[in-house]
Amino acid sequence: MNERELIARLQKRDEAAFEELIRQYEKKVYTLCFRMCGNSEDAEEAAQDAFLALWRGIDRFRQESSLSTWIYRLATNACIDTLRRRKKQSGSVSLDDEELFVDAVDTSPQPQETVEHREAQKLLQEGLSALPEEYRKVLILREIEGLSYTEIAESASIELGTVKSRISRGRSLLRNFLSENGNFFEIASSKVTECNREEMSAK
Amino acid sequence: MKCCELYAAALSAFVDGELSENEKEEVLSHVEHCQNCREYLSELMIVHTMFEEMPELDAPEGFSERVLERVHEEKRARSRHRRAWPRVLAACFALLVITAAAWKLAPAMVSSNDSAADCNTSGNDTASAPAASGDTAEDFTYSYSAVQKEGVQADASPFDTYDTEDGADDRSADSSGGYAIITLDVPAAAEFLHERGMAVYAENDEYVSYLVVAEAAHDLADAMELPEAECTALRQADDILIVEVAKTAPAVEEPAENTLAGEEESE
Repeated sequence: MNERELIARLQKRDEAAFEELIRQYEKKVYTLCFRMCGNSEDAEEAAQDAFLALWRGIDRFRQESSLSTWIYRLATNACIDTLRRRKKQSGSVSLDDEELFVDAVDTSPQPQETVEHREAQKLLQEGLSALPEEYRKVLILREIEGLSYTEIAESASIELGTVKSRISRGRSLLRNFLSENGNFFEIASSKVTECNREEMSAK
Repeated sequence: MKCCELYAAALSAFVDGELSENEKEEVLSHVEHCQNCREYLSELMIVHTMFEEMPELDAPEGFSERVLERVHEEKRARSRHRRAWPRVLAACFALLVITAAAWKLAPAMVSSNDSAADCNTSGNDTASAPAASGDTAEDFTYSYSAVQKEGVQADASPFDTYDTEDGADDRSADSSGGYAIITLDVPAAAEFLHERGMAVYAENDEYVSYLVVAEAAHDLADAMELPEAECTALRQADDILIVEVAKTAPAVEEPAENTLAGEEESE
C-alpha cells in the first residue's frame, strides 16, 4: 500500500491501516522519542501521544509535506510536551537506561571494545539530553532520522537559516559537553579511525 | 578560536553535505590553513560518525496494542459524551423557555411598572406575581417560580430580575434554572469548554458562561490548575452546572511559560 492509499484509509478511520502505520513507523518514532527524552518511560509515552495525535488529526493532513515529516513533527512536539509535564511534576528521571544500550549493541565485537563503545554511546546520549530542547530536536532530526535541512525546516516550521544555525550551535554545545565529560573523543576517535582503516582495507 | 566561531555553521553544514560547490571549496581552502578549524571539523565528523553508529531502537513490546487501546478508550469516552447531549439539550430548551417568558413579560413590565409603582405602597407583592403567569401558558411555570422567590426574598418589584440589561446580574441561581454556578478566573477554561462542545449560556464583556455536563466538569478540573475550592466543586459535580469564566485573568498574570523560544530566534 503506498502512502497516498494509506492516508486515504486512515482518513476513513480504518483501524487496520492505523495499525499498519504504527508498525511501519514505531521504530523510528520510538527511537526519536528515546533520544529526545533520554529514558524509556517518557519515550513510550511521547511515542504513544504522537500516534494518537496523528489519528486525531489525520483529517487535517493536507499532504503538503510527506507523511514522515509530519510524523516527526508530531513526535518531537509530543516529546517536548512530555518533558515539560515531567518538569512540572519535578520528579527526576534517570537518564541512563542501561539495558537499552545493552540490548541494542551488536554482540560481535571484542568485550573491551563493546564496553568502550557502549560508554561512548552513553556519553553521546547524555550530551543530547543536556542540550536545550530546540537544539536537541533539530540535531536528532538530522543525525538520527537523517532529514535534510529543508525537511527539518518543514517539520519544525522554522526557517532554513535557523535550522542551519541551530544544528551548528547544538553540535558546538554537544562537542563542549563531550570534551568536558568523560573520554568520548579518545574512545570515539580510535573507533572512527579503526572504521576508516577497515573501510580502506575493504577497498 | 575566533575563526572557528565564524566558520562553525559552515563546517557543520559541510558535515551534512548541505553546502553548494562554491561554499564547499571555500571551507576546504580555509581548513587547509587553519589548524583550529581542522580540529573542530574532525571532532564534528567524529560525533557525526558516532551518531550513525547509534542503533535504531525497537519499540517496547505491545506498543501498537497500547496505542490502539487508547484509541478505543477515546472512542468510548466520546460515546459517553454523546449520551450526555440529550440532557444538555433539555437544559438549553429550559433556558430558551425562560428567555421567551422573560421577553413576553418585558412589555407587560413596562406597562405595569407605572402601576406597580402605584401598587407598591399598597403592598401588592402577591398580586403582581400571579399576574406574571396570568396567561396560564405552561411556559410560564419557570418564570413564575423565579418571580415568586424573588418577590418573597426582597421587597423590590418582582420584575426587577428581568429589568436588568447587563447579563452579569442576570445569572443568578434563579435564572440558571436551579443549576449550580461556578466562577473561574481562568480564561483558558473557556477554550477548554468550547473545545468540549459545551453550549454558551450567557455572555457579557467580562464573563462567558457555559452549560457544562458533569463529565466535562470533571475533565476540566483535571486539565487545569484551578483554585482548590473550584476544583473540588467541579470534581464533585453530578449534574449539569453553569461555569462562568472570566474573559481576562485577574491582575496577577501567569508568566509566559515558553522560556526557550525567545533565546535564539534572532539568529
